[in-house]
Amino acid sequence: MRVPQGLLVKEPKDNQAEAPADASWEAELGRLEMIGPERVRVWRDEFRRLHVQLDGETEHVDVKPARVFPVSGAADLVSFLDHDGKEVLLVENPEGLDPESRRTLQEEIARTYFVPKITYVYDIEDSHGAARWEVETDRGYRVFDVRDREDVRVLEGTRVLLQDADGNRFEVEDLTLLDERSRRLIDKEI
Amino acid sequence: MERAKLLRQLISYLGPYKVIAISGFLLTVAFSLLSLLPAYLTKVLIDNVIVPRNYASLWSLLFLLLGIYVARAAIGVVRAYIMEWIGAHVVYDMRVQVYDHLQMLSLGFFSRKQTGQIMSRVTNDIMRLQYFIAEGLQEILVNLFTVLIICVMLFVAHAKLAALTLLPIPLIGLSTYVFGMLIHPVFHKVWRRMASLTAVLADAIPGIRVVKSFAQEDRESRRLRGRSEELLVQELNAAKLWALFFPLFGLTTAAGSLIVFGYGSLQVMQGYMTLGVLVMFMQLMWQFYWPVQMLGEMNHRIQHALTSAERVFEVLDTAPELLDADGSLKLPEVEGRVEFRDVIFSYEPGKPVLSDINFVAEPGEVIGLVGPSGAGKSTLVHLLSRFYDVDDGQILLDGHDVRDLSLHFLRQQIGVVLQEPFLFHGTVSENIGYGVSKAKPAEIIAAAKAANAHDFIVNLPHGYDTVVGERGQLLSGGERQRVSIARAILMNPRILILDEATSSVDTETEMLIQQALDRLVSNRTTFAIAHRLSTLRKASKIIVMEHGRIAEMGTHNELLDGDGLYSRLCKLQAELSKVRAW
Repeated sequence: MRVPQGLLVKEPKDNQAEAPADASWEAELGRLEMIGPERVRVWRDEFRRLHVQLDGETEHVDVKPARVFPVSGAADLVSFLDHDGKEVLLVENPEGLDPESRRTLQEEIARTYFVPKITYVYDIEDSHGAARWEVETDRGYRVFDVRDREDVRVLEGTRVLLQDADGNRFEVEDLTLLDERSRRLIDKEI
Repeated sequence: MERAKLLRQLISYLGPYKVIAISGFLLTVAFSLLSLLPAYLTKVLIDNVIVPRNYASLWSLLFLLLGIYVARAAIGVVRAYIMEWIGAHVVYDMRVQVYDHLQMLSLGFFSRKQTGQIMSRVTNDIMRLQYFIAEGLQEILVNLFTVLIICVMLFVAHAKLAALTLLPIPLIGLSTYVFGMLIHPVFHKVWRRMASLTAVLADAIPGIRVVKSFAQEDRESRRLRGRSEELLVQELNAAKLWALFFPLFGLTTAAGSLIVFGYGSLQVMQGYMTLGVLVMFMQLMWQFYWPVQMLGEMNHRIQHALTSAERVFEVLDTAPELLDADGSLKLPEVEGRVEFRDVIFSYEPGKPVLSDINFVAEPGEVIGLVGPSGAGKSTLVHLLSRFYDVDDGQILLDGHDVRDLSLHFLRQQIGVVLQEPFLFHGTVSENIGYGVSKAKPAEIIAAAKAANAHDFIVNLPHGYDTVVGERGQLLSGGERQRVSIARAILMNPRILILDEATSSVDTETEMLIQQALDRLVSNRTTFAIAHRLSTLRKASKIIVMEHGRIAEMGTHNELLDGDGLYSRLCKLQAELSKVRAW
């Protein structure tokens, strides 16, 4: 039988109540439930739909994982969203999942957050207001256009994130580890 | 402002760097002396080496000259870096000081000045001061020193020729002075036009949506073109003066040099003077006229700097209207009881916008503020945040006059959600955590969940790390509003001000926002300004404002029964909703 997208296929033991209107901020903070990895199982079915299960009971199907802080890594949290984009589980420290679940989740995350790492810069040429980057990445040679300097962001002083004109993302993990020529070329753009 | 005082104030910025500044000055003196030596050595070369064919001394003299040039270049490098270093540091200090001070100034200052003009002071004027503080002051001293040394060298070498060299000086001095007098007002105009151009940009670019909505691109282009033309005219006026002055200066000095050359040549031919002395004279003469001209220009250069300094110090000298009283209080715990007692307030003397305001908001109560536009609702909540001080009467928080409380402490107790929430260019997470330093990710998420914002945030491409764009333009109005509610929730204020927080969103979003607000207002004293009166049904008390006074006060039902302004407004809205229904 086909299971509808994002469907809750098993009821939880204690259905989490809607936050009451009279809750104070402290109560809101206390209510924030981040699920530990030991309570969660993640797998793919034969139709390649992602399942997530809590405490071996509450199960959601065809969910999409989203990293909560994918750029800054301020906290290692993954949100599982149903087909309406509504969060069904917020899981902390996904590294602690059982090996099979972790592998499945990592594959899904890697697909969602496919970000080639720039390892060498051949050239950055300004043309018609955009900058054409010609680079070597861990996924091979790439040429892309960066429309605006705002699309080149420096994080923590040495990490550089880029978004090209088509919305694809690239990353320089650590500027200081690049060769001098690449560093000099990037330096002009940041 | 008095010029001497301005200069003193300017020079004081060198204080923290005085050792480096003095080193820079000494290097400049050394550089100038080394620049004069080659002229003297040229005389020695001609008179003692070339003419008597003294081969033995030729190479040693040339090596000496080479050594001087190398030393001068080395000093020049160090000196240039030191000057830039001092300039950059002084500008950094000044910019930070001005910006810190701006943050302290009250809203009144910002409503009186245009954004672009304020920005122009923080950027353009401070940049103009950089050169003057780092180099201008030293140049004045060094030029004086150079002129003096050259004078001595010239008079020692040949007093009569030296006197002739000085002939064009009064003319150079006078023309430079006149030039300064002429160019100064033109520069003033250029700067004012530049500030006004910046003001147009600062006005139109943030308002670009309105410009486009009203199809007023041409009008804005014309406005900018108009200001640009005014700037262009003044720049051309300045260019005319520059173009006129420098050739005239060149002509004067060239004429002066002809006199020296003519008389000197005769002296050499008649055997009263050596060729070496004449060549030295010619070299020194050119090195002499330049600092003289610089000194002549000193007046106008100082004026330049002082004009900018005046604009910068005007900001720094503007005393914040609202300051913490001596021994200002920070309450250990705030319950949130607010009392307005006989409050009178006016923006302009004699024109009160609030009169006889008396009411009490008990902790946790929701106070609805309604009334026609201009009735004084926003002013009332501005007074509570102490953006302004009352003219008369008192505003009390838990029985303490707000003027006795630390301003920072008071504002930390008050959360604000505006109709048009202002988000800063940064990530969602940074915006939510704006009011709380070092908020933990869990707290940010909890606040976002309470504000019904978490789900839309985790669906953004970079989740909480998504950059929202300038003023949050990459989010929808409802999303911006929920982020601003999360920001207020995270601050966990005891008092909350909701200024038309749900009036500019669709019904579904309004429902989400209303849910979030319901969570937010619980256990907090809340002041809710609303035009849509139905949103105030649950208010503990509704204050109806009219012409800056409280017209009515009571619960929704009490006021509805009373047949007063509130009742009339409710009926009017009910009628309007029927009209809208067709």
